[in-house]
Amino acid sequence: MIFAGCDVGSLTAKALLMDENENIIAYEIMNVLPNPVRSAEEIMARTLKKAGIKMEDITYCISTGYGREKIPFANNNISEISCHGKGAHWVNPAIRTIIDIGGQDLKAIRVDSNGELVDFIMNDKCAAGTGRFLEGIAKTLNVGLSELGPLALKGKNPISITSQCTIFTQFDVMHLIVEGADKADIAAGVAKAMAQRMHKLIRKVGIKKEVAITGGVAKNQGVVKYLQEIIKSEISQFKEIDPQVMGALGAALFAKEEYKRKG
Amino acid sequence: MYYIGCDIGTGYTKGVLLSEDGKIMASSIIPTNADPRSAGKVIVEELVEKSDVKKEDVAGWGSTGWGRAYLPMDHKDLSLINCIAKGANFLHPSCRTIIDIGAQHSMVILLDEKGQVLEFRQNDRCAAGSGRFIEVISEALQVNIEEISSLVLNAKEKVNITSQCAVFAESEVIAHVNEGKPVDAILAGIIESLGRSLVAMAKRLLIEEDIFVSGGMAKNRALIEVMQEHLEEKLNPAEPEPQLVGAIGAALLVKEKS
Repeated sequence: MIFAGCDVGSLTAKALLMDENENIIAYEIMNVLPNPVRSAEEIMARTLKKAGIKMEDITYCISTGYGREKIPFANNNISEISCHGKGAHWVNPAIRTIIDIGGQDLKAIRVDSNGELVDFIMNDKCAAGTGRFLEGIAKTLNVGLSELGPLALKGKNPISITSQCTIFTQFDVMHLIVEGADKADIAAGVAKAMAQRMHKLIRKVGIKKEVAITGGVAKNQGVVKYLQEIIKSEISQFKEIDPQVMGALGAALFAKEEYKRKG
Repeated sequence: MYYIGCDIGTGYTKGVLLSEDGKIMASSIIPTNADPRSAGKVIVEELVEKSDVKKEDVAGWGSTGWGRAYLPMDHKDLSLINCIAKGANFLHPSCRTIIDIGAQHSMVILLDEKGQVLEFRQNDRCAAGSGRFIEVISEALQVNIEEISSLVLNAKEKVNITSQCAVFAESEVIAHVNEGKPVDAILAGIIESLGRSLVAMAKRLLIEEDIFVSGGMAKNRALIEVMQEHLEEKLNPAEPEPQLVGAIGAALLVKEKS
């Protein structure tokens, strides 16, 4: 039996396949296409190809993410908040707080010892503290998004960034470049500002150990470093599995549960 | 003697050359392109060339805006608020309220009868009410900024834009395009949203007539109409070139101080 999770976000689409023993068979991540249905079809096709199986082989599929209600091949859909909680708990059952930073939102999710949702908080009104923020800054610094984290770690003297707004921060960065500031120190300052911004929101749900970080921004080691300093706690990072597929993983786990429940 | 005022903004660099009797001899607007040093240099060259005035005959240099420190001349750094107030008072002496829509910041300035600044407010937290908001959207829609006004004025419908954040509004706009909504209807929604943000900011102050509008977006007739509707007041966009108000003010202030 094959269970599938398909997570169509605002910037990336993710899919994951697992067998009935919860062994991960394959997963894939890609940038979204203009249409969420096409994104879902494409990411699932890529993941199936990697696993060497066909769509008909999928026993049950759950979709999640921003485009979750529109996915034609999914048997059901579940909110990404529950899916992230579920996925993170499966990877590490000691986790109680999950900070998930997607392309267009920032969430803090609290789960109990069973991985069930206790509380969550979310910002989806403003791009500050989301993946889009880092994307904008990378563009202004003229570096790739994946280079931003390593660059921030190199910065020894993070420059204080006072703006919160993504666009204003881009102007600040532009000004710093004109003034000849070190790019690594700018990247470090941006990572620190982002961590501070995230902390303002996530402290509202209460940060209970252990803390994990998921979503695309989890890959920015600069942000993770400063966030650890601010919350004075180690943050678990998923090494064995890409933190971006946590939602798809949770969806696949829910697919298995729901299928078994329905008999 | 002559005076040069430059307004080196995040989007554009504006310059004017003023004669002793307060006549604008030349003006120029060029993109800053994130390089205020070379923008400052180029704008001065253009002003000198257009006016046929020698640099030696320029008695005072005033610089304002985001990149004002980088004007490559021995100049006076001036506050943008004072420059806009001065320029507005010069162009429209009866104005008591200025709504300036800049690329980065938008601001509302209240003046007394003498043109002195009484109070001001700017959107310093969020780009929702700034010109950059429109730039981001026009880039996403691949529409020239100058075309927006006529597209919106001829639009048959208006899409409701729910995101205030410029970054999220861009994604929302792309989603509407993918759903097949007409570009003019999407732009009508965007202009409505920007107009509302600006009016909300203006309403936090006790604004009085005449209301003068400066900055690049003042040329957008559709935006002016949306703002007039929500403010229930008549607006007076700067003539002939609303982008030059700050630079004119800079030249006037430096002339007074020379």
